[in-house]
Amino acid sequence: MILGLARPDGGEARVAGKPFRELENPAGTVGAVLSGGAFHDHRAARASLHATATAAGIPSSRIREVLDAVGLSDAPNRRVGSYSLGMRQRLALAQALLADPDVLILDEPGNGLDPAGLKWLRDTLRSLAHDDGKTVMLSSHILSEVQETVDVAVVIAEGQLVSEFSLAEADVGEAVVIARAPKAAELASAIERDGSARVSQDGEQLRITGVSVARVGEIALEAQVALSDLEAEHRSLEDRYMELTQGKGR
Amino acid sequence: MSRQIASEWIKLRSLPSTWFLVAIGLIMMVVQAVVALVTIKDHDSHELALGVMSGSSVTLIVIVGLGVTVAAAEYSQKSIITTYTVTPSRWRVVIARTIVIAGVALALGLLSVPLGRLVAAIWFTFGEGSWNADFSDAVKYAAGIMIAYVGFSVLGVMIGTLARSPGLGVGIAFGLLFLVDPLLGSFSFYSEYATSTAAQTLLDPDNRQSNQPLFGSAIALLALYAVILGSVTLGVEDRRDVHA
Repeated sequence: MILGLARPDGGEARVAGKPFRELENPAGTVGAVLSGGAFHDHRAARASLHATATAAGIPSSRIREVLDAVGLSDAPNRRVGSYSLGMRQRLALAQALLADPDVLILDEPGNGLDPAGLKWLRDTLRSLAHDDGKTVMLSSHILSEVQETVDVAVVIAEGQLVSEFSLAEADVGEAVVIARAPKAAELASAIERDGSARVSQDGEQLRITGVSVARVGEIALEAQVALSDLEAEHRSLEDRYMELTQGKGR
Repeated sequence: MSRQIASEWIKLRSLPSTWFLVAIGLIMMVVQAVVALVTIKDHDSHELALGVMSGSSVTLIVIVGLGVTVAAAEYSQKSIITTYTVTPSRWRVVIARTIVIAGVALALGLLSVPLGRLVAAIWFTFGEGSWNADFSDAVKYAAGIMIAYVGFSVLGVMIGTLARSPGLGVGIAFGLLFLVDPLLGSFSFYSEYATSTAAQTLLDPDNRQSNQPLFGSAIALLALYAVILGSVTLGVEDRRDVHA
């Protein structure tokens, strides 16, 4: 719907303040990876990019640059049908990057990538967002991968926007240290004096982020506070998603 | 629009199936000429020359197949997603694709008469008889063949765009253009309006039967059908969703 491929039942989507179909330079505004790379199987990779570049008014010299960027410079003349799923994903990203757009919209970009490919994709997307200042939107059902890649998550379930949150602020991905102590307030003060850890207290229980479980043990020892329990709890994006949707997400 | 046309040309020429179908179309032209040379016994006749020059109906079918499959494969292969995300204006894409396919059809039509004459020249070098058709005949035949090929290529692209599936598109195109239409054309009330009889007039204007439209009417008829189907296709395509 954002890209004008499907009509919404109601409302409208705008990119850079305009409906996508009204953009003067759509390829230079949004690059998209949908359906695991939308290519004709019998066409060579370079020809697919050449057709796209021509339609967008991009010089063909850019094709080599993007193929180099995604690590496909050694197989540009092979038919796309002979590519592995991972190679198709890389080619799709190359196509999306052809016009150096400000916004990237990626649907399940990690599909078919091996672990090395996933790391490459993660690093590439984070670099595009943080170093090049692009807006990268990706949708995926593999939440562990999303958690490693994105800064802000939007949860949609049953067609409704459920929540939008920063992963850092929602403590997603960070280990949360749970400490229980009769003198919890003293321990909380000691931890806060120690550095940048964030502490929340609920009776005798402290939830601490930004510090390791071992360091909390050392601080308790130094502060001469007896602990009744100390454990690390990892809160994943999947946990947060399940909390928000009660498992009803579709 | 020039960028879209160039892009569609790159897409068309980069598919092996395009060249396969073009080769089939050319071969059928040669076959058409050879059949005329073999079956028309009077080797000095004007009739033989016209038979050699008349366009191949099989090539016409191949051109429809090319238009249908190229247009429909964009959807079945999902490359239309990329096309529309780069060029959101759908009518531009459809028209650019139509122009490119029509250009190929035009080129095949342009080759038809010289190829027929070449085959005849080779034939007469080794056998008896001679060529007996003047330049105005050649121009008339070439014009008719080009118009027929271009008109049917447009119908093929539109049917492929509406069908969005090469199999379905080929089935619909061949069912409508080469089965239902000729069948209806056998009835007098429709024969002068059938695309099949119009094609016969255009491909072989000197052998026009009484149930076929006149040369000019055939051109107008084909243009009318192309415009109507084109308008319907553009209207439908602009409103249809493309599913990723």
